[in-house]
Amino acid sequence: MSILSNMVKRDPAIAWSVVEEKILSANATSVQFSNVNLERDGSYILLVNAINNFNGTLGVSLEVNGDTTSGNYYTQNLTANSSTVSSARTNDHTITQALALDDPICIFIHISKLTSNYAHAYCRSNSGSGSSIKIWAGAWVHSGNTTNVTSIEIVGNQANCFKAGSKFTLLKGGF
Amino acid sequence: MSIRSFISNQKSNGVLTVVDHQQLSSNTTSITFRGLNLNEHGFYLLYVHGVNTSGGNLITKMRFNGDSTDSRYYRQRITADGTTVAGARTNDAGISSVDGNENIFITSFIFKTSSNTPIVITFPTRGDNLDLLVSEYVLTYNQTTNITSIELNSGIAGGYAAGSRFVIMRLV
Repeated sequence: MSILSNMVKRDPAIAWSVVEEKILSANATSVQFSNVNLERDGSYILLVNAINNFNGTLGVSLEVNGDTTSGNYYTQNLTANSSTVSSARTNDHTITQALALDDPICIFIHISKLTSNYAHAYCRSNSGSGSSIKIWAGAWVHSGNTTNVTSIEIVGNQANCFKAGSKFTLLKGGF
Repeated sequence: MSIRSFISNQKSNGVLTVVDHQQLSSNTTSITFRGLNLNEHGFYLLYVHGVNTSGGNLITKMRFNGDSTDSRYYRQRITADGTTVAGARTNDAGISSVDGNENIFITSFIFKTSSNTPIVITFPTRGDNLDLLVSEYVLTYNQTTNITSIELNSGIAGGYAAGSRFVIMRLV
């Protein structure tokens, strides 16, 4: 497949437009957007403005097409927690953490396709607030998988970890 | 928080709008956005999906008003490559780096400081699988003139491959 046919030509007149906004009416473990077609739309931006309902460290993952096998993904992260800076490249799909109960989880996620046709995302997020605020920057890839992306899911690793009122907004890109 | 509050600011109370957009039909060394007015517009958001088929490392330099004199620019970067975190401050206009035959995604926020000099905060991400890499760059330029053009230069003949996309937006 050529580079051009992999990279959908976008409408230059449109920046972002909302596909769907989900506000949780009850605590939830995951949120899924199913009205998705990455090859048609070219790119998505997913904004997460959630609250950690788990009393401890919560891992938050990005999954596509219902693929829950963490080994099918790679991530690279760069974190800063006060004066401690660290990084890791991992064979899984974790894109951020929340450190304590009621911590805000704010994530910017941009999803598109590489020329290899793998789904790719880059993320910027915080975890915690006030004196416990932490930065988490990351890159994510659905490794070895060239199928179209037709669903996107944000998943916590603890039951009912996203508190009611948490907001998840999906936008499609004009670029 | 509404969507509008994610993408608007107090100055314009508006939305992000595309100023210019290019998708390359052939390999290209550099692209330039003209007709800009940073003093009036206050802020630009740049998005790039670059494809480097050159086989060599490609450093994108952001040049204002056609000024290619590196000594007028400084950049500070922090990069995470596996478990290695590295930083560097360099006297040039670089905003990202990508290895040969890899993709790069660039998101840049372009402002002016209170001293009227431009500052650019950039989040580049490159590669895939075991080459995934995360960076942040800050670029400064020591001139106080208005910015009317922004060039992205690959430093390699035909460095940006066909299919690469470049979009610049502002608040309207």
